[in-house]
Order: sequence, then structure tokens, then C-alpha cells
Amino acid sequence: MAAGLESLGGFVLESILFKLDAKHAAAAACVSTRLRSAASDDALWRHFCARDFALYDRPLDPDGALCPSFKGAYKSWFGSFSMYPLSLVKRAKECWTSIRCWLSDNCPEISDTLRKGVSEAEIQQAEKILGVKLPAPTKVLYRLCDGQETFTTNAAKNKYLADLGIIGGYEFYEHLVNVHLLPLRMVVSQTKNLTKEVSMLTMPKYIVVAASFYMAKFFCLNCSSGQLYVGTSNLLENGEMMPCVPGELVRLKADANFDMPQDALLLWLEEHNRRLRSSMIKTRHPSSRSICLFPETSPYCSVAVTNGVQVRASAVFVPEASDANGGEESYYFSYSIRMSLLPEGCMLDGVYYSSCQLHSRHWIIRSKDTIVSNVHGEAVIGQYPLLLPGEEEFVYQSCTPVPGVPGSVEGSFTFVPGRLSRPEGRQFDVKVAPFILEKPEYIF
Amino acid sequence: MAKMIKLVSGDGAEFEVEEEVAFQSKIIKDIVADADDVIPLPTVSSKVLIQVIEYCRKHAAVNSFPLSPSSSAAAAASSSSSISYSKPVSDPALRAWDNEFVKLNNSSLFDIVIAANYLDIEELVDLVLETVADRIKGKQAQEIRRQFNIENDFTPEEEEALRRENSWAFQNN
Repeated sequence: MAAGLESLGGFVLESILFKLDAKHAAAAACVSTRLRSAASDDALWRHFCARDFALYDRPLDPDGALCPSFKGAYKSWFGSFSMYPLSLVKRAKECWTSIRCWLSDNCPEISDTLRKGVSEAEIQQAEKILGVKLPAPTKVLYRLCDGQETFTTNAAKNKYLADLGIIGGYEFYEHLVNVHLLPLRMVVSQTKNLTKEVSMLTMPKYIVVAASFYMAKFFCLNCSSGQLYVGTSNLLENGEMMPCVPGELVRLKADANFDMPQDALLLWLEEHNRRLRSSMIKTRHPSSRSICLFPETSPYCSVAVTNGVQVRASAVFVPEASDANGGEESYYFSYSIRMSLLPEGCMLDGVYYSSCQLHSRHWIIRSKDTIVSNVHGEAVIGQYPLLLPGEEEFVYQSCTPVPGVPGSVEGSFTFVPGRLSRPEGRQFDVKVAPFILEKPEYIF
Repeated sequence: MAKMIKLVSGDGAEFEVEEEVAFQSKIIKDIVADADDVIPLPTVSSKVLIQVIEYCRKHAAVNSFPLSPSSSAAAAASSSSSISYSKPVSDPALRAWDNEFVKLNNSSLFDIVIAANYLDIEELVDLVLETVADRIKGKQAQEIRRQFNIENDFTPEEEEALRRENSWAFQNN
């Protein structure tokens, strides 16, 4: 006997509906009693919520409020975001959700600074004031999260909040950086300020989206091309900036091969999220409040153990101190050295020692295979760290410019077993395995 | 000499097919494993069984003897067993064949999907579901009724209320 659409078994009819877009299911709901019933099944709308908005588990609306059904939640999201390709909304949402989750687990203070998304009207207002059209991916990102609430009118409070940038940063000598994502109101004010100071940027297409406020470090989105740039040491003088994301990935228009635009801000945040999740970057230690950008994983972080002394080393590119025409100083890097004594202690010539102390350092710095620096010196940042077994790492940062990349740093420390004031054996060299200095594909 | 399996339709017709063709159906594969070479299928008519066998024959041939680089890549990418259920079908020639295969009226399609579901032929089920879904997409309620010969059992008031209730889904970018 011939079957009709309505008499197909529940599973088959349900499976057909699962393959539709929400609007097709809504049309089907108007066809007949049977189809209305099948198309109103909340399991179907739960599937649509997951598929189109990465909304799982609970029917929440864009503000995080609980809806009575998944159909209601879908309707709410659709109403709020249907002016964008849904695939883009889902992708941006997944990015933010992933970042928020990581922050919740590892730096709850930082996740608390994230603001609710702005409205479509607020975006249009900002575009009007600045005279630019923001790329769609950036708009969606701001619809989902309006940057950070870390800029108040209270200077003391700001100092406290300055460590809480979601991008994070680094510190060496007097150079302290921690990058925050700006809320839209600050995007507007900072863009106005910067374009006033730097005539090169007054073509109405750059907006400032992220910045550090200890040392000035600005990230500007080019709204025409969708690429993100970071200011070099010449930013205020002549607007010099470097691209932060591989150019070939940036596209503002969907085309035959790719169905959604992806601007550099989206790509940049996605890469940052990947690095957090792979532990390439993290907070320095569990009690630390800020995210540290020195890589912790190989191949960027080298490790060597000599006689029980472990040294980990990695570098971070410092664009705000770099200079396209800087000659010797073109590419500025900071490096972080972490040294510790393994729980077994210091083994030297078959004898075990329960401590050792650093006396001097030796660095060989290469730029494109040419040695540009070969220095010996006492201490590290003026200190002579004493290492005890199984204790927390002694960590310090220093810096070096190089004329060309890629380059590398390697070297050794001279230690004595016991302590310098009372050595218990001969001096020995502890290796620092080479670590790379390169201009990264993604600059943070 | 290929091992043959005998399938018997609901209306008593018998069909001998090569093992690898019949094994496109997971159910048949399991039954034969219990050493039974004659498989009665009382719920499947001969008309539908002929069409299902045709599909299985085509897909068994492609899965066992990849004819083009793209299909062999698909086969290599999926599991090492000779029967692969790689989705989606990546071989354009096979896709074209599938598209021709489903140029049937709705009633025939429904019969096939019911049989394929019963026989657990995943790819065929999915193919028909996609085809039927495509026939719904983009149509308004009245057009869907016409396409599938469905009676409008709403009162005008109910219809109007439903239209209003679902209008949100049609506001577009």
C-alpha cells in the first residue's frame, strides 16, 4: 500500500524535518495537524538550536535567560541575529563560549570582566560616529560580547584591573604589557584619539579594538580589508603597524569556495583560544591573575636538564618595540627563562648536592644564522638564584633585539653546588637549549 | 564464483543477488552470518525490492572497485572493510547516478525509505530523506500540500493563527 508523507513512521518524518532550515519547518507546521505536531516537537527545535546556534543542554536566549522551550530559544536567537549568516553567528558564539569557559576555569576574575553583547542599534550608532562600516564578523563578536569592563573612572581600580586583559601580556625590565579587548564605547573614543594623533590613520577605516595601557600597545582593525594590525615603535610618529593574522586567511566576502566571511579579529580570537586550550600559553601559576604570553610548550619553549638543573626558555615577539627601519633593532623579542632543581637534587661527578647557585651566564644570539651577540656576564637580572630541590621555578625575563628573523638564542649558566658563599664542589655549566626568535604568523 | 543470496519479496518473488550487493543491507549481513542464505522479506514488495537491489548493486560495485581517484580516496578514507559508509558520497559520478535514481514520485520514495530503513541501508535512507526534504524546502504551506497531496485539516481561524505564530521564521537578513 502506498505511503503518504503524513503516514510515514515518526522516526522517518522526524528525520526529514531535521534536515530542514527552521523556516522550512515553520512552513511545514502550517500544512496540516499531523505536520504541525511533528514540526512543533521540541526535540526538533533542540536539534536546530544545536545545529544553528551551538546552543546545547538548556534553552537559553542570547542574554542567558532560560526560555520555556527550545523553540522559544531558537525564535529568540533568530530574531536577534537573523541579519547575519547563521553559520557566522554560530562560529563566533563557539569562539566566545570556548574562551569564556577557559577563563571561568582558569582566571575567573578575567571572565567576570567580560561584558554582555551590544545591540544592533548600538553598533549602528558607533559606525555612524566613526564613519566606518564594521566587518560582519566583528559586529557579531561585539553582539555576543562587548569587550571588557576594565576601564573605570577610578585610577586605583584601573591599576587593579590592568592585569586582567583576556589576551594577556608579558613583562621585562620596565616594559609591562597586558592587552585588553575594548568595549564598543572605548573603541569609539580610542579610535578618535588615535586618528587625531596619527594622520596616517585618518582615512576612516581603522578602529582600535584592543590595547594595553601600561605600555602603549594598540591593535587596529582595518575595516576595509578586515586585517588586524599592531602598532610598532613608530606608530605615533608615522602610523607604522604590522599585520597580526596571516593575510591569506582574511576574507570579508563569502565566495564560491567559502560560505562565510572571516575577518582578522575573529581569526585572532580563535587562534588565541586554541593557544589557551593547548596550554601553549596560560597563567604563570595557578594563583597568578594574568595570562602570560611566553609559550610553555615545545617547539617554542626549549627544555634542557643538566646535572639535575632544568632550564626552560621561550621568547615572545614585541611588536611595540620593533621598528621596520630599525637596522639592528628591527625585531624586538623578550625571552623568559625558568630554572629549577629536580626533586632528586643536583648530581655532579657522582655526588648528590641539595642545592646549587647561579654564578654567571653566557648567551649566543643568532640572527639568520649569523652570531650577533656573544656575551658573558655575572648574575641574571642582577640576581644569583639559589635552587633547592622540587621548589617552584625561578623565573626571569630579559630582552634582545635582532636585525633579522629567524634567529635563535642559546647559552648556558655557570652554577656551583651548595651556594656561592660556601661552594661544595666545582663549578659546572647548565645548558640552555636553543629557542627560536621568529616573527610569528599571529601577533598578540 | 561470487556467493549468491536469495531474497524473497512479500508477494513471493525471488531474487538472487551477489553477496556483496545484499550486504549493503546491514540486516541481511547479520542474518546471513547466522548461516541462512534464503532471506524472506515479507514487508517489502517485489517492485520496491527491485529498486533497492538496483541501488545496492550500484553502490557495491563502486565501493569494491573504485573507478575514479576521487572515489578511491573516499574509500581509502573510510574504514578498511570492503563495505564503506562514507558520507557524503564524494564521487561525482555516483552522486549523479543517485540523483537520477531518486527521480521518482513521492509514494515510491516513501516505499523505498521504509524498506531501506527496515533493511538498515544507511546511505539509501539518507539519500531519500534528503530528497524528500529538498521537496519541502522553499515551499509555502499550500505548495507543500499540493506536492504531497495532503489535506488541509485546519479551520481558517487556525490557519491564520498558525501563519502569525510562525511568521518570525520568514523575516530574513
